[in-house]
Amino acid sequence: MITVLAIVAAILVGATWVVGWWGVPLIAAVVGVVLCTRRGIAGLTALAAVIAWSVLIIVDGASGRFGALARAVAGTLTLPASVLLTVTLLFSALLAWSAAALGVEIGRLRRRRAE
Amino acid sequence: MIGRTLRVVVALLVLAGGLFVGARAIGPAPALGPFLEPAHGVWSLARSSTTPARAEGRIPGLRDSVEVVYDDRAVPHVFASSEEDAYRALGFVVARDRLFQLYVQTLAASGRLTEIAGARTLPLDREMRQLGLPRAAERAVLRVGDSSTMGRAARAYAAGINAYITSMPASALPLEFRLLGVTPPEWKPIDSFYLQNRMGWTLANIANERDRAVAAARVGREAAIALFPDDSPIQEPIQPNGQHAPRFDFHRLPPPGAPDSASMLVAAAVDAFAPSARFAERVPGEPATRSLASNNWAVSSSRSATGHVLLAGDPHLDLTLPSIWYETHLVVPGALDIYGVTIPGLPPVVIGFNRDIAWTFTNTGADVMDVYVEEVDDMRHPTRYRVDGTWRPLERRVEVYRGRHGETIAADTMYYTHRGPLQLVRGRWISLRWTVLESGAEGAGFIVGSHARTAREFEDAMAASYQAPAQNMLAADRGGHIAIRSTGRYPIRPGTGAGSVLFDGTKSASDWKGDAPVTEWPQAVDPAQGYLASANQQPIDPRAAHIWFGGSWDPWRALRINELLRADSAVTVDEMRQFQTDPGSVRANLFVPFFLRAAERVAARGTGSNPAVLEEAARVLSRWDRRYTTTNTGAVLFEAALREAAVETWDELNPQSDGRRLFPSSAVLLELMSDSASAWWDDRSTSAVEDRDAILASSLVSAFLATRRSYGAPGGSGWEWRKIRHANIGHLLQIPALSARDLPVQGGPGTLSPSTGNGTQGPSWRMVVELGPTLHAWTTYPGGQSGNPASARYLDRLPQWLAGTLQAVHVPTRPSDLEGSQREATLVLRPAR
Repeated sequence: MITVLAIVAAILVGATWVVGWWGVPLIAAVVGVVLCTRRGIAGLTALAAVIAWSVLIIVDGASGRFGALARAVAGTLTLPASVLLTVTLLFSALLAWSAAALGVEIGRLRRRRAE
Repeated sequence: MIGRTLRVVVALLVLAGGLFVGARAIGPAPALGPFLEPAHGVWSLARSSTTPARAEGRIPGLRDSVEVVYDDRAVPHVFASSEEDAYRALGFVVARDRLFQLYVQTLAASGRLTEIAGARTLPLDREMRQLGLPRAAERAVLRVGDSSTMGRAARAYAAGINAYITSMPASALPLEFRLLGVTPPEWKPIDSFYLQNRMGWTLANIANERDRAVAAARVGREAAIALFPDDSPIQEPIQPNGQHAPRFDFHRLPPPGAPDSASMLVAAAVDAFAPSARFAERVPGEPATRSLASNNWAVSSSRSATGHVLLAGDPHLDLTLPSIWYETHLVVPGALDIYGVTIPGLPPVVIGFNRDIAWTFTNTGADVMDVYVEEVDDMRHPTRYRVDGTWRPLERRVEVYRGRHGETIAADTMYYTHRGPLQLVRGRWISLRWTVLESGAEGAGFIVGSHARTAREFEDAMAASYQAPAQNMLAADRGGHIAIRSTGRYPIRPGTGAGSVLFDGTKSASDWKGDAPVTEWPQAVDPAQGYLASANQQPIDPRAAHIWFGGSWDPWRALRINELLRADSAVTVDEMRQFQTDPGSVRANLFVPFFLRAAERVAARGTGSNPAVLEEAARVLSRWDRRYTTTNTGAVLFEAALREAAVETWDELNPQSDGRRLFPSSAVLLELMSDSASAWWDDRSTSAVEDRDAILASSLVSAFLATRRSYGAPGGSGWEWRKIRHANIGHLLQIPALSARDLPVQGGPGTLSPSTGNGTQGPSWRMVVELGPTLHAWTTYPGGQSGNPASARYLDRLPQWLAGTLQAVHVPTRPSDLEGSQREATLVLRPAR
C-alpha cells in the first residue's frame, strides 16, 4: 500500500509539474480505473495528492521566503496563511479523491462488461 | 447499491465543483487551479522572491554582453558597451523587479484600467482619454520619431522588458497578475510616452483657477482674486531677489461682494476636464490637501563645511508600493556613468548624478492649461467649429473602453479642435489647450542632460527639449557651481497674459502667441547668497517677472529651508539630511502668536464664552515648541485650532446649501490676520459681529475641547503627533495586506517633510550628493527595489525613510569595484541567438 502511495504521489508531482493542476484529476482518474479492484484507492489517491503538493510546496519553501509569501498571499485574500495552505492541500485532495472515485466506477464497469 | 450510487453522485459533484472553481474565477477570487497549484502557481513565487546569486538572460538586438551587478541595497549597476545596450538591460532589470507596476501604470496612463477592474474604473479612464492624453502620446511618438534619442531609448528599453517577459519562468509571474488572472502583454515603446504624459497630468496645476472661479460665483470677482491670488502674499522666490528675508506683500482683503455666477462656467470647464479627486477641497488651514510638492536645495562650496558643493532633493509624490522610483546605475565606459532613479516604464534616469554633476527637481506648478468657448455647427453632433468666420473640421475619435474579457463597457466620441479636446460643459462646447498634450521630447532632455559636465550644461540641455510639466531644475557641479531654472514651456497669452479666463474660441487672436523665451524663465546661477532652494514657492518675485505663472503657491517649506540655510554658513552632509525631515514650522511660528494674543485680549475684554478653557488652551499652546516630532503633544491642538479658525473665517465661501467647500491658502489667512476688523472675520451664523480675536479665541476653545474629547487629557500620550498623523503607503491595487499603513512620521502641514491629509503623499525619494574630488551620495525611498511582496527587498528601506536616515550608495566604475558583501547578485545579459 505504501509503495502504491509513493508511486502515485511521485506521478502526481510529475504531472503537476508538467501539466499543472489538471494533472491531479487526470492522473487520479487513471489510477482509479487501473486500480479499481483495490479497496480504498480513492482515499489513497487523495492522500497521494496531498503528499505530492506538500512536496512541491516544500520545494518552493526551500528559498527561505516562504513565510513572507504565505503571509502576503493569505493577507491579500484576507485569510490566515494556515487556512490558505489547508485550502491548497484540500483542493488537491478533493480533486484526486473525486476523480479517482469516478475512475474506480468506470474501471469496475469496464471489467463487468469485459466479463 | 444506494451507497455506491450516492458515492458516484458525490464524487461527480465534488469533481465538477473542483474543476469549476479550479478553472474559473469567481468574483474577485482567481481561478483556484492555476493559483494554488504549487509547481507554477502562487506558492512557486517563493522561488522568485530572492535574487539568484548568478543568472543569465538574452535580449534581442543587444550588441554585446552586459553585466549587471546587484549591490547590497539591491541596486543594479548596469555595465554595457553602448548606451542602447544599457537601456535594453535597464528594461530587463526593471521588468524583473517591477513587472506588474509597468503593466498597471501603463493601463492607468492610457485610460485602460477597465481592462482589469471593469466599469468601476471607468471615470478614471474617461478622465485620461477626455484630456486627450493617449492621443497625445500617439502623436508624440510620431513627432519624436524612431531614430531620435528618446525614440531609440524607448525601443531599446521595450526590447529589454519584452525579453524578460518571454524568458520569465512561470514561477516568477508576479502575485498581482495571478490575482487578476491576466498575463503581462508585450511592452511597446509608446507605453513610455503614455507614462511621460501621465506625469504631466500628475503634476498639472489648475486648482487655483477653479477655486477662484467658484469663489467668484459666491463672493464676487474682486474678493475671489484676492483670496486666490496669482501672486503669493509671502515672497521667498526660487530665483533669489536679493533680499535677506522673506517679504510679506499683505494687502487688505476686499469684503465679500455680489456673486458673479458667470464664473461658474470656468470652474465647470476645469472640472469637466479634470474631475478627479486631486481637485477635491482643501483641508482648512493646511496647504493643499495633496502634497504633490517637493524640495531641493544646493549649497555652494563657500557655505559647505567641506568646501565641496552639496545638493539635496526630495520629490513629494503619491506614496505607493512598490515605489514610483527604481534606483539604478548605468555605466558605458567613456560615454555614460549615471546613478539615480528612473520611473519604471521610462528609460531615462530622472533624478540623480554623474561623476561631475547632480540634479533634482521640484514642480513649478505653473498653470499651462487654458480653456476656450467654441462655436460648433451642431450642438449635438458637431463636425465643424468656427474660427475668424471660417468653419474648420473637427477631428473625431471614438474612445472604446473594454472590460476584462475584451467586451465593450462604454464608447465615447471625442472631438478635437486645433487647440485640443472638446467637451460639452453647461451647454457650451469648451476646448482645452495644455502644454502636456503638445510635448514629448522630455525623455531626450533627461538622456542628454545626464551627459552634462557642468550645472550650466545640464540646464541648457534640459531647456533645449523639456517642455512639460515645468520643473524647477536644480543642478550642481564638481567645479563648485550651482544653478536652477524653472524649465518648461510657458505660453504667451493674448490680452493681459493671464490664463485664468475663458477665452473666445471663435477668434484666432485668442490663441497662444508663442512661448516665453528661456531668458524670461526664473533662474539663477551661483547667486551671492551661496545657496539655491525651491519648495514649490512662487518661482520668481512678481516685481521681476515677465511671465504669468498663475499657480497656487505654498510658501511654508521655502521659508523654512531658507531660514535654515541662511543661518548656517558651514553646512555639512548630515545637516543636509536632517533638513529633509526638519520638524520646525514657520507656519506655526507665524500663527501661534496671533492665537495667544487673541486669547489674552478676549480674556481681558471678558467676552469669551468659556474663559477657563481659553486660559488652559492658551497655556498648552504657549508651551508648544512648534515642532512636529512624532512624540510632540502640542501640534495637534494648533492644527485643530487653525482648521477651526479657517472654517469660521471663510464661512462666506461655504454656504451650507452648497456642499462644495472652498478654503483660501493659509498664507492668505495669515494675510487676513493683519486686518483685525475685516468683514471676513464675522461669523454669519451669530447675531454679533466678530473680529479676528473673537474668532481665534473661540477657535482655540473649540479645538481644545474637541481634542480633549478625542485624545484625552492635554499633553497625554493620546496627543502625541504619531497617533494623529500617519503616512499611508498603499499598494498599487490598494490591497491592505500589501500596503504599509499608519506609519508614524516626523513632520506636519508646511514642514519640509510634510504630512497632510490622509498621508498618501509625501517624500517619495531622498537624496544628498557631495560633489568633491570623490563623489559621495546618500539615498533612500519608502519601499524597496522589488515589487514582489514576498521579497526581503519589498519594504526594506521603509525603516530608514521613517527615521529620516539615508544610506551611502555604491558608485563603482567597473564590476570588480563591488566586492564581497557589497555584491549581492550578478546577471549576465547576452545577445539573443
